[in-house]
Amino acid sequence: MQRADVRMGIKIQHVLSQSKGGGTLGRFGLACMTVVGLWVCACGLPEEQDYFGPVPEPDVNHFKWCNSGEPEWVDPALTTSTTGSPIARLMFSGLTDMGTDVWGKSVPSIAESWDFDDDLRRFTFHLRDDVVWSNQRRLTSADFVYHVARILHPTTTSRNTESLKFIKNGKLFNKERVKILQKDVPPFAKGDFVEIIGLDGNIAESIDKLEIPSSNRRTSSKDLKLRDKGASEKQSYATVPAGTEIDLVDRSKDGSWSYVYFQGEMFQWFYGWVPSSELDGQPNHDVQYTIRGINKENTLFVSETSASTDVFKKGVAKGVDLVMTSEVLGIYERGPTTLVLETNAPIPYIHDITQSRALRPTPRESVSRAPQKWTQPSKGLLVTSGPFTMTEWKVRDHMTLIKSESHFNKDLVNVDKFTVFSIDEQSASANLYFSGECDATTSNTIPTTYIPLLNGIKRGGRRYKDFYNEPYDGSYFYTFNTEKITNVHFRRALAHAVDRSQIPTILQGGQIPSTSFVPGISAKNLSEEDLKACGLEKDSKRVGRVIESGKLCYRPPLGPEFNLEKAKAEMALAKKEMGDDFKNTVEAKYNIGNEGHKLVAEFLQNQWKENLGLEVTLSTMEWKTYLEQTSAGNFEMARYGWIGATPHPEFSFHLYFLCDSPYNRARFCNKKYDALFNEARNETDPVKRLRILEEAESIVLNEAPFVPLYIYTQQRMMRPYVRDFPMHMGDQPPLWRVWLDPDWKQKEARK
Amino acid sequence: MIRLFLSRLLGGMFVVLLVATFSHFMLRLAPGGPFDQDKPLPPLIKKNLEKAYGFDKPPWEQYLHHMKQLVPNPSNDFRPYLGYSVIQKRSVTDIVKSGFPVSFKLGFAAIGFACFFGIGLGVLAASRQNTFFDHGAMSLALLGISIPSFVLAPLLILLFGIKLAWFPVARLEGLSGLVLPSLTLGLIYMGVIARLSRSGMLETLKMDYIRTAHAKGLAHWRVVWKHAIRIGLMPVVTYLGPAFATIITGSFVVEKIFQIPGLGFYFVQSVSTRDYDLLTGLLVVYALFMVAANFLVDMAYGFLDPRIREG
Repeated sequence: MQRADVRMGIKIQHVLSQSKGGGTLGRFGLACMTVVGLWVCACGLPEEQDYFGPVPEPDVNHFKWCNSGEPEWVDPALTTSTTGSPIARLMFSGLTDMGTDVWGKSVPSIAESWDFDDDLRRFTFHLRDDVVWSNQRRLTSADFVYHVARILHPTTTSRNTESLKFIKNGKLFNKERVKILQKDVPPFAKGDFVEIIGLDGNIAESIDKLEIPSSNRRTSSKDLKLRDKGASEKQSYATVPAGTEIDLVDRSKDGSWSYVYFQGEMFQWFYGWVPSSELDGQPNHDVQYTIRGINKENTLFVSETSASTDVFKKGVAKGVDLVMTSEVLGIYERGPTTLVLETNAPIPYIHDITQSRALRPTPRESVSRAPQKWTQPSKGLLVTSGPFTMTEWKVRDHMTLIKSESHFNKDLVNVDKFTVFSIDEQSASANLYFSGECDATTSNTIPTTYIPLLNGIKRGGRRYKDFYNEPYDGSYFYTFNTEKITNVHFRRALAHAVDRSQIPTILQGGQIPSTSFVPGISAKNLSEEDLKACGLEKDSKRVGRVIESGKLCYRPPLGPEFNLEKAKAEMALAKKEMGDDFKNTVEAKYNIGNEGHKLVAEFLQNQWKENLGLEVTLSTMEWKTYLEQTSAGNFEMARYGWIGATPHPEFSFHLYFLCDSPYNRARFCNKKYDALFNEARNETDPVKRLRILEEAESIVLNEAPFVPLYIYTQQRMMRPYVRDFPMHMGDQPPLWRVWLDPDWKQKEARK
Repeated sequence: MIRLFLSRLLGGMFVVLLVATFSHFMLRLAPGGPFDQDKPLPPLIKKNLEKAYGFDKPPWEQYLHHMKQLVPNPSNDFRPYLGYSVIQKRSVTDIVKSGFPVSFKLGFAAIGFACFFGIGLGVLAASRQNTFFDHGAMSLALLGISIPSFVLAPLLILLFGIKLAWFPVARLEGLSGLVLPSLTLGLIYMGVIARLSRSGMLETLKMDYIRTAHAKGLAHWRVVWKHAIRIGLMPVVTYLGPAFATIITGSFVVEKIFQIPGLGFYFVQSVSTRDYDLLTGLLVVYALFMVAANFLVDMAYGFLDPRIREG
């Protein structure tokens, strides 16, 4: 969502500078032409058809899809965007796969079955034995261990670590602060896992700000030949000059081979194996680290809180005695087809996490040779494990994927070829769909101006049948900087004084007005059994977040509803409490680039002026500046949106308001909230978890660190003959089973 | 001649270096950096990223390193290295190599269209001054100048792409895909060229040597096309040099609306994503073209105007 804003921003900026260049005449011309353009648009598009554009005959072997732009990555370890993930998922199989329901709930894939210990903290996955990479190498549990370690290792600099922090020691590994002792250092024994908490026997006040020299740094007195494990020097693909500092990333089980990371000149990066004996230098071997033992339980956030809590034994170890390898992680193999996962807290829903990008292995042999470029087919290094493999990637134009013959489920794949167009301009995407170039578009690629036509408002209520307006797992809100707007009554007054029911008419995308943080689906769109699970009536205005159909439902508590009396009463209280400090003004920031942001900002300005007599100054800035300003706390109020990824609200949403959350731009900190969050995370009963989380959310809503506004929706187009292209709450539908129905007309007629 | 060439070469190199220096520092002065996103990175990861791209070094060292890569010297085997795009994850040379041919094709088509119709309209208007032709041609030119491409493009797409379905609505595929974008891009240049060639021609047509040619009994069209046009088009040539350099390095708006993978997109994108090397690299390429185009224009003067050649 944010990225889309950036793109729009550029466009508008440019448009503005252009019209300036044109002078008065240009501006007049612009006005005229816009009027003409709108008029032509309004009556230029066909009105009688059921579908948007002439429906072409489907080519049953070739699916053409308009993606929402050029993906920055298609490597599942690195991609975080909705443009890259669907392609990564086509090319790389996961432990489990996404199902076809709105949340993409897991179905077996590489893992055929799994079981778990009673404490819900250790999970054993049983893998298929017929999985191979496209280079015919067998894919085993070791590939999963490598992939997880790769994402979490700090040299990978992946933004995808969020989905793996549940893994035991994952978070510490990502900060390179968990080590294995190489010899006895009383009170610890050789082989113990320890955590670095400071240097020279001191305990760091805020450990994240401390620069810790890496004990994994190595040098060699001779040139190092990087290669695959066990290969001879002749087969090396890169050479590390003698004396260069490199990072030891991992070690083979017997310790005889080391996997290292090397940053060469001119942005050439490599990973590779070398015999351990060749790594004879260690720059930080005399550094004194303060360490402490890691609790075997390793409950969540123990290591995150202040290191001075005196629960664990402490000690001092030298760099030479400490090393970090993937052994410390709570993921390991037990034979080629058995994978064990250990988590730092009970997880009642492991199967909902295992289909994520983070558990779709990447091939070490390719990644090592070109960590950033191996997915470009032109490099000749692309090795895949999924139902499709890429043969062509023309940057900012299109990608071609073809069916993989080595995939274990290849009989279930219905199309031979997949063309993905990278279209970052919304109108181009809609036009290409109209003219028959794409069989479907991604979500959120329909220009706002098209929506009244597509949803039928401009056609006497006749919606185009191939236009879909669906719920989306995201909240839109204005956050306060609670360090600047400290008075809770003032914040509540503002939250109560917004008539959110006007928002859908302003934005026209069917947005759902909301007074909570966690989004859900409107009661009127829920099935009977889901309504029962949520305890909602069909005509309720509330939303329910169905986590398991008919069984588990998170019901976001009601927050500050529109209520003028309450708003005024709170304002009066605020005036009284603040006394002379009370100002009748507040500044609201939003980023330029999206017409919607402006409309909402002006709507809020108007509401607060009319309802509270408050003077609201709006200030706008470009996206990067906006990010810097808001994370530095230079704002009173700021626009924000938050998009979820899994049905489980604690990972997607509750995380946001924790005291130490890096995302928490409100700078909201409530000890009770944090305590409830931790309580929920350690609760094994899924129903009880949700009730605790609901209680936690109501604390936030009551403290009003933000003004909730609405729940996002997503719009997309899809031809009537496209089958098995499900909708997904996070705009990441599984695509590999898509097929095109040549008999769609007959079926339509029968209906 | 050689002295002129050398002085131009030196001057041009200086300009390019200045552009590189300026863009290097300007973008780094803007708030935020390439790694800032709404979800902030953990400190160690950010540090590793900055180290990988050399952003952890002091500013002057970064600058020297950057220039050492850009300027041909023994350390880069006299092969200028434009740097690496942190955001696009490709070397800038790669980006230029894939984007430039596309932009060039589009720009060339657009400027060809603009010259053909622009000069045609201008000459027509000048040789029939204050007639219906003159007013008609100049109105058309004015229209071309005043309609911004972001208004013209959707109209063209709607009419020729969607209603009549003659040309593709987006994407540069085959020759037919070139028509709408080059029309959109070329129209404003056509307008300017038409006006420049009209005024240039008007001035020339009043000159003595034209009167002499008429007096010798030459036909009007022969006077215009053979004698007047070479001098009358001097302003157009002056304009064409820089215009050509600009147009072949891409247009953001047209590339965006028609989804053409040219260079224009990167000029804007690199600024908003703080993609330092990419911006500098692109500006250097642009500056090189600009310098070369201006040099060629100077050469062309001599070719077109015998007085300059002999003087």
